[in-house]
Amino acid sequence: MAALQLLVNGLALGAAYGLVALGFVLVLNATGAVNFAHGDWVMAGGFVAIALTGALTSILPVEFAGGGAWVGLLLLPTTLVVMAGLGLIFCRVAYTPLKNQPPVTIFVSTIAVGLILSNGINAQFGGAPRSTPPLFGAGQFSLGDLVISHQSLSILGTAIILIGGLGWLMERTQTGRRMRAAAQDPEMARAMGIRVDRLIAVSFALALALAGAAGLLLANQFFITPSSGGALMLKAYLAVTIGGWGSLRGAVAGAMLIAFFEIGVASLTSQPVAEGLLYLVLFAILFARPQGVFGEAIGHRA
Amino acid sequence: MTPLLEVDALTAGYGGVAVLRALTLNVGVGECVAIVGSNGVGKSTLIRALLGQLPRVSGTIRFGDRDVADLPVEDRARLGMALVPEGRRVFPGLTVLENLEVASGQGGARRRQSLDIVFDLFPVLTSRRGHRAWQLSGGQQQMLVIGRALMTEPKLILMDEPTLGLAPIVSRDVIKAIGKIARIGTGILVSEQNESRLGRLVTRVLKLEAGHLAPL
Amino acid sequence: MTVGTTGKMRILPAWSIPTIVLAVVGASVLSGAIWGGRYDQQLLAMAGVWALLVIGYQFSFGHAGALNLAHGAFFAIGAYGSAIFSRTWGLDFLITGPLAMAFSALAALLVALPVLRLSSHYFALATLAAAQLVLLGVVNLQSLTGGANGLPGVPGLTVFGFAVARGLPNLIVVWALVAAGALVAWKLTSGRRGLVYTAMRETPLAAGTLGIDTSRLRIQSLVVGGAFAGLAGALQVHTLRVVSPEVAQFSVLVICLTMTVIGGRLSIAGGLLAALLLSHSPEWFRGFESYYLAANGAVLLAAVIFAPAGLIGLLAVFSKRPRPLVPAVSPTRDFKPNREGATLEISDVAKSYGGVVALDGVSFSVGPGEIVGLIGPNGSGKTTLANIATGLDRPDRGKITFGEVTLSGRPDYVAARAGLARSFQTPELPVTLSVRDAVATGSRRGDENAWLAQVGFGRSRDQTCGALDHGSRRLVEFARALATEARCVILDEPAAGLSDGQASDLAGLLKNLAAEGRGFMVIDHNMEFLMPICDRLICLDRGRVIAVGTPKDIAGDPAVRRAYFGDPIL
Repeated sequence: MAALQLLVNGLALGAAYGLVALGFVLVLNATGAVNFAHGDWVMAGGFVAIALTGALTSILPVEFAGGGAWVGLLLLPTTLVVMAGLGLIFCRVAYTPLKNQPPVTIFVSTIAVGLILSNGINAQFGGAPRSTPPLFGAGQFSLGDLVISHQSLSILGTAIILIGGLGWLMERTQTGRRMRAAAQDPEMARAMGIRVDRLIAVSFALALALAGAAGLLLANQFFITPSSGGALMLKAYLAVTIGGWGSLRGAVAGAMLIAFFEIGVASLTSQPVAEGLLYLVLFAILFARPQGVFGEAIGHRA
Repeated sequence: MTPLLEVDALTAGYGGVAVLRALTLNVGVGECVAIVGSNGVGKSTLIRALLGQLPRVSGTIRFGDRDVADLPVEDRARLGMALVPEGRRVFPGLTVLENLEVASGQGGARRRQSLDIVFDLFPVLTSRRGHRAWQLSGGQQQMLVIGRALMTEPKLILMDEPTLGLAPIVSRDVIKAIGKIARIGTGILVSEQNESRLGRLVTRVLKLEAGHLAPL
Repeated sequence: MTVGTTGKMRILPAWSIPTIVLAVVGASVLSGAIWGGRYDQQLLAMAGVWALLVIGYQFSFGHAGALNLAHGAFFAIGAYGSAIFSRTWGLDFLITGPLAMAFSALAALLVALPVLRLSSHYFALATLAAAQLVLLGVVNLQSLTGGANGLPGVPGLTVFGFAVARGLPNLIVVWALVAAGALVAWKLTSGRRGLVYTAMRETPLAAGTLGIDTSRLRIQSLVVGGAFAGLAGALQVHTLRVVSPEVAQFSVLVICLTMTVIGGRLSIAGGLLAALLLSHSPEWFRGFESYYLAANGAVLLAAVIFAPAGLIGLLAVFSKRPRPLVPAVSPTRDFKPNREGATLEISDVAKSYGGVVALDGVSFSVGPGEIVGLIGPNGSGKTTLANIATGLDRPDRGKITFGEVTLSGRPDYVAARAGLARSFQTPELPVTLSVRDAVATGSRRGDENAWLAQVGFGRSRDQTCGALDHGSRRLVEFARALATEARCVILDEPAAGLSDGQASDLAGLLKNLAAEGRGFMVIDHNMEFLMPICDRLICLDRGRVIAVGTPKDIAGDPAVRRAYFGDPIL
């Protein structure tokens, strides 16, 4: 039964990490560069949700504001929209001026944005841990010894909807096909009339919307501080490395593996040991298979 | 003949060095024009400059009555220019079908109609529609790239050495297909090292020599 | 460049900008030392600590171009190392300082060895994970490091048994070490050594074929940078007299990165200036209070976008364009090879990529004084063969020898050092270097001008390679290949992009160089160019040799006509 409990917790955590990793891959594929600020954007998403909670409760009629469930449900779409807007700004400020520069330059510019986010939010909100309201109220139910919180289910449900939605967008729609084509060969995509710069901006907006969802969901169970971003970015980076550079499915699979590793090993040993082991495993992976566990997303034929 | 593409005194090049020097040429509606010349005379440069992948230094480019010389690549493509680049360049991770669909600016029935035309032209692609493009052979990839260009419903296809590096027997199929495309009225500007390969397919042959058109 | 400038502003010689910056830094430190209070002196000492850290980062991030995110961790290792040894055993800084440097350098070596071959994104991740491991260790190894609270009561600097007092004496020791460190760094990265770094950074493919052992150079830059970080860490703990996990936080790296980008990635003077400015900026921007670090990020972002070459790059608008790093001497020499000719022997080489055969049992040789032409349709394996012969790629099967040396399966610099050089289909030249410097990256003798004259390069040798047209790039690359004292040169499409006149000059030059005993393997499509110069022609098709013979035989060979020249089809 303990194992089952771990499984449920691992699934919920992995789903949230999956959202984080997907946003990371979207920007990676669109620009070819690592977005080092992605973890900070997830954290920022949590704080955006906290700020919006205040705003929503003051605007909404008392009977709605009182019932936490309604606030949570309204919070998700508003956070997504606000974060998507921030994504467009982020793209315009930190990527567009550097689009002809090598990826390392963009890497450094996103480090700068991460610094602005974590310290700006720290100055605005203070460094104390904060949490967001739950999506559907704070209850839980039990099945025998198994305790499942409503929030765990909401995380899982929301993640399934968002990940499924993104998968549908990328695989089944013309926009998704064009995003994938532009990622593989932007010059050729332009030569077919595809507006590549616009698609890159869309990728940033989607990536940050996912980051916002992840921030909102994670911050309820685990609390967030302005310095939470670094660890989240690292996990997304790891998930993408394990899952295969640029692969969306791989990123979700990698995120799940990391979540289970974290929960599983931490339950056997301690949090720092689990974290240290995770990095050592990463070294082993990079040493043995420099192309990631599941290989690159695309094969080659000379 | 109604002019489709009119290029006047076009100068373009890399790093301040002109590869094309005051080049003038025309392609009429439905014409198939070959640009021949040995390696390095500027055939690829010409194609890149026409599509806007390389900024011009001076000169004008008119396409279907519009001055396109200052338009970005995307806009020229949307006006009806399509590219079959050197070295094929399929979208390797997309399936054959996706490679074709992604090029279409139209939805629904019209896209399906274009797909039918492409699959009619290259039956071998039909059976491989679900494969990733990188799994195709060189010849199949070249057919896919030509089909992809057709999916944009172009008025003019710019082809950069479409038979380069292909086995002769595959080249033959590709050239036949180019002939069929020319017959349905799509303008074609094709570069080749060796004019004899294209044979009677073309309506005119222009010889490029050190950035100029030379008399044949 | 984002800053436009008229020629009139370019009045200062190029060397004067770093000199003036150094003078300003020196004067600021001196005036702070003389007129400043205890607090100012402490602040200046910390600026010196940052300066050493930045100089170290310029090795790995600047010169080697590696996105090393573990530099802050190397700093922490030095800090804890020196703190623990001096605190526990009361050791002198003359011992703990070098120990700290050794620990950090060792840590850098341990990180560099396994992850060196990773591409940049994975390299960044691996170094980041290493940094996190150090932070974890520092926080959790309670008995050694004091855990989250750190270690109080770290003694101040002790040199030769004398305790160095806070304030001015400490400041003097720190900045004396900064000066020494700057001098060492300058020695290690200026002149030809700097050229080698540039070649590795800007043309990683070509660097190995010039005889540069890039793996070793990359490891060296990380290790030397690590030693600098260790020294900086050690000085920091003795200046502050306390050590805490703060030194292992990621923010150390971010501040160091900011200083390095703002100062200029490759400029020691710029790095010192940025360290001085940024370590004082919290004082000047007290008004921002808690937003100070966020402002730091904004400055970094602005620098990346508007001043990618840093402050030193901005100041450079007042200076004349830099002269080439190597002097403009033209030693007279004859161009006879200084070693005896050797034969390049390719036997039964095969290579496939993901199941597709690129080469299938190719064998031939290029003897001294011989010019062998390699023709074949695109995709027939010509460039793959050049890559395998020069060690850029490994064959699946077969052997390649050059003279007595076996090349197959060995790194690229081995072929180059044995005397086998090459050019690339798209010339691989460092775009920021002058023509003369670019050729000097291949030469060990200072004879770059002579070689440029020999290949008939007639333009200015002071302009950067980035400003050259395609044909000139080919000539410069050819001069560089010859300058390596090559006994055999593989040329990949040397005549493409040349005018007819240039091509016939090149043909004459090849004949002369071959007559002196050099061998050439020439890949090209231009038969008019190849026919008169080649002793033999080899035609490849789909990875196999389909014909070998004199140019005349090959031109008439039916198999070659079918595969390469093509017959009319319709």
